[in-house]
Amino acid sequence: MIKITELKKIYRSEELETTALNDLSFEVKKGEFVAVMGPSGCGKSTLLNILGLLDDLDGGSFIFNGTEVAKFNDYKRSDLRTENIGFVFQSFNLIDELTVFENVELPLIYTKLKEKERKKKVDEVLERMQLMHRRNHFPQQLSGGQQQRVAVARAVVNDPKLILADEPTGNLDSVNGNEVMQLMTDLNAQGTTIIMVTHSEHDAKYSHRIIRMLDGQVVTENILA
Amino acid sequence: MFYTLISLIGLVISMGAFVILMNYVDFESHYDDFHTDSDQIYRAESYFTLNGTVADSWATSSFGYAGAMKAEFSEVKAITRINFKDNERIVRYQDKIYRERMVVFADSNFFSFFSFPLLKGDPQKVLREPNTIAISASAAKKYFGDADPIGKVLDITTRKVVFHCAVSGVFEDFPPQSHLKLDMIISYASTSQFERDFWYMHSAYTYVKTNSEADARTIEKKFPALAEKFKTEDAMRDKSWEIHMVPLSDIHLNPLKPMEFEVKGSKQNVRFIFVFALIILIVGWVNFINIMTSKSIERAGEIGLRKLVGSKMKHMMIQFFIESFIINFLAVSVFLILMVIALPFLTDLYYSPMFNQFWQRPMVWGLLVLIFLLSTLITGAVPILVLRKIKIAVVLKNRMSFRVGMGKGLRHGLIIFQFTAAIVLVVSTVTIRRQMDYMQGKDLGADVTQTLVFKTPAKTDDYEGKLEMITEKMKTIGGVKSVSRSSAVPGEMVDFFIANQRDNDPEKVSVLTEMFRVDYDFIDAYQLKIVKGRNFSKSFGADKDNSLILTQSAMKLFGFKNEEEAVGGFINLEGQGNKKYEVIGVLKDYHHLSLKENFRPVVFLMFSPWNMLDFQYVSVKIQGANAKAIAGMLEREYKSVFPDSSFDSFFLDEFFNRQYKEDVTYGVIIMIFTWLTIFIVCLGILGIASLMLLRRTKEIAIRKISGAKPWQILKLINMEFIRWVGLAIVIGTPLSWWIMHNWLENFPYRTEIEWWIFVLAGLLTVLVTGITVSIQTVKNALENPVKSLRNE
Repeated sequence: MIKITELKKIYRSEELETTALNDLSFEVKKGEFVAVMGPSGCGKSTLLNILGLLDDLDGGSFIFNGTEVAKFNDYKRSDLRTENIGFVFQSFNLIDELTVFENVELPLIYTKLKEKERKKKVDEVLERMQLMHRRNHFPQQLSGGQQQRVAVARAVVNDPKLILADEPTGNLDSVNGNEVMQLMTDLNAQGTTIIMVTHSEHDAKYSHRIIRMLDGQVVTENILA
Repeated sequence: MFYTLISLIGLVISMGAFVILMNYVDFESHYDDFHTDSDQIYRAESYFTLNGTVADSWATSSFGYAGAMKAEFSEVKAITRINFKDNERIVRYQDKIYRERMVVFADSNFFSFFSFPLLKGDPQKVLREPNTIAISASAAKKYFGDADPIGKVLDITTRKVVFHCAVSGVFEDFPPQSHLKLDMIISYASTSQFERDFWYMHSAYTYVKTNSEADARTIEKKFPALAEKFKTEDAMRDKSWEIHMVPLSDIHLNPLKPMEFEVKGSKQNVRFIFVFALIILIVGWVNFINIMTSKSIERAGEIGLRKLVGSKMKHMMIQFFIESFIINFLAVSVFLILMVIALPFLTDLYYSPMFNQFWQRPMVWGLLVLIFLLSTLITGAVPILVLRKIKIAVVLKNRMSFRVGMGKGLRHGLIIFQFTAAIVLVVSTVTIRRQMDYMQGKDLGADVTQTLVFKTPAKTDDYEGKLEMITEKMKTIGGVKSVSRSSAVPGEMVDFFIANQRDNDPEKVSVLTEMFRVDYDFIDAYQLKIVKGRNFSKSFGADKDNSLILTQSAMKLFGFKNEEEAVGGFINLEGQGNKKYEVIGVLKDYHHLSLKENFRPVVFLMFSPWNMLDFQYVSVKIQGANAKAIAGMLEREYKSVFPDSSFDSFFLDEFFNRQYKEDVTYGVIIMIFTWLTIFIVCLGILGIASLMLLRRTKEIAIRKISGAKPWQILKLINMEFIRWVGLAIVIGTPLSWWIMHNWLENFPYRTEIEWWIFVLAGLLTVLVTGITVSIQTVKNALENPVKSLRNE
């Protein structure tokens, strides 16, 4: 599903040039659950942003579903993202002024789906996440675990082929964390490819494969299952 | 810094505009109040009623009112008169010859009654002796240079009489805020007896001083009975002669009446400008409050923390007021600096007298201090009112949602107010402009183009003969289409009223009509349309002395059912005994004056009833573009025959359009300040949009990650503002319609308030808002969402 070859990402400031990703190459197959680990600053999040088409790359190749997307413009990326990718963040990134329902509906608003169909899909996913009773609440009225479930619901509502999760349990206690990881495992079992950045060995164990990074490069790959 | 700058610019413009506009309001509203006892002075203005209905209303009174009122009414404390018959006179001193516009006769107490300062001469004595004259300082300079004018003799000439008057006084040029603008004042004792006590010629202004308003009203009540004693002639006997005692301070802003010379202001325009000034000030304040409130909400966390560590509301209030004080102080200072720079340019504008005295006007300083204090108070207090409810726990726990909800209603309300103001102002500007265009573009029914008019000369031997001779001679000049003489021209009031009767009217109703003396060529030259009958013609010998042509308005006033009945009908003219004058034609009504006035009932004739209706103008219709050369030739011809008169000419279309000068200026003022208001609103939108974006950075990033494209982000933010504009359109449309409908009601001939004006105002507001918001949003819309989230 994803093939990156000699990926390069350099951050430049007036005085400094930092190589975040240095000729990074790896492949993720459809239906895989991959955990990316490594110390802070090793380039995990940068990698995730590039995989999510949220950031440009400075060199190398990025093939998504057989298409080279490295040179895609903003509009094409946006379309590709809407159709294929869901995001889960450590800090949930919900919009405080929108209700749970509206937050989950967000990615569907930017598709051509009609309102009725959108409502149906959102309700289905809320049901799956056991959040129906909270559909009209605002994020601030929910617990951390519930907020992350809303974020996961938003990530999966348009049936993405790929979910990119950036430390999804980082802000949660262990009970809520486990709940979210179970959700991810279920989604993966249903066929969604997942790439998750994490510091937690415990969470990484939910994945099929762990990629360990250091200084913008892959140092080891452990296959768990 | 950005927000402070925006608030500051908005405040400078709005405060500045407010002070300038209020200066206009104050200037216009305080005419004539420089006189001591100005509140006790009234002008007796005549009006005539028939069976309780006003038949006519003039600003003037007859020569006889003053004497009779002084003798009969104990309420009259003092009274003085100005006789402005033949007010435009040619004045000669040695080789200096000028035509002076306002040369009048005045009672000897004129300078003690009013407070016009005399530079030379004794107020009690200056106008006491016959054939003495007081002249303005500029006239003194013009005729005598630096020499002492006292005792020097001026020749003051009309078309029939020459006065030789010794200068007995020099007065300071009348101040700009005087409704009277006199160049020279001849002692009343110089006039004939007829001009002292005659009751049938209303060519005087009578000013009365009373002890109280009640006395003025008593005089009004007593006057009709007094007038009965003096209605010795047939004319106007059927009408009740009454007076209005009009307070001196009201004269300038009252509507123009027949026989008024001063350039009038407009009460309605002054009111409109006042409201406009308030709107622009409030728009500036709203900007400031909105931006400061939004900014302070950004600081809610900081304030929560301050509270946590024990800071009292009092300390924060002081902090807000100091900020507000500094910005307002800066705004006033910047305005003052800009005004010092701009004043010379403003002085060149139409209202130069208003700006000439700008720094001397206490109102300006008073207003500046007042709005500075008010502005500091309001702009400092509102953010405090919003923030005083801050609960420490809420802010610290949940900063984002707190920020969003806080003061939302107030801010939105204020933004909607700004948009509504913008819409009302745009509709007003367009409507005022359209009304001006309508008035200046509408067919007058008389051709005033390609017409050079010169004023007839001063008294000379064989006056009429020479005038006729020169008229004929001018007709032979190449490029001259026609030359005609008349007692008035379009754009100048006909003004010579007499009370006439339809012959054989059993009820003997006197009808006041304006008498317009013309020659054979005038009606054709001006392309006035004869609806029925014929023009004056040399083929009909009687036309010269016995024939009349009526306008349709005059025809109706005389009670003729239609043109057929009028032509061949007869009229008895006032003071001409039983002589019958035949109506030989009826003219289609035409606009003799601006479209601010209704059609006038005018009687055209070729002779001079009472020997008072002189030809005052010669109209030369020109063909081709060489008007200047032709004017030169006309002047040479004129000077060869009338060497002792000045040649004073003008192009009639310009002369006619001067009637709109005030309105055009008014339109320009409204337009300039409308754009300034829109500019302030734009600054406000810029500030609010930028703060909104700051607050919604995370949301925008999340939406982008969720698939929103840049244009969808633009749309999202724009829609927020457009919603407010929509609401403003709903409020502003009926409001602006109502305001403009009322404004237009004052014009007898008016344009329509078309639907598209509202669409235009709405679209313009949407467009300006869209552009402003988009400029601010586009950066955020294109920003990498990851970066935004990282910064959040």
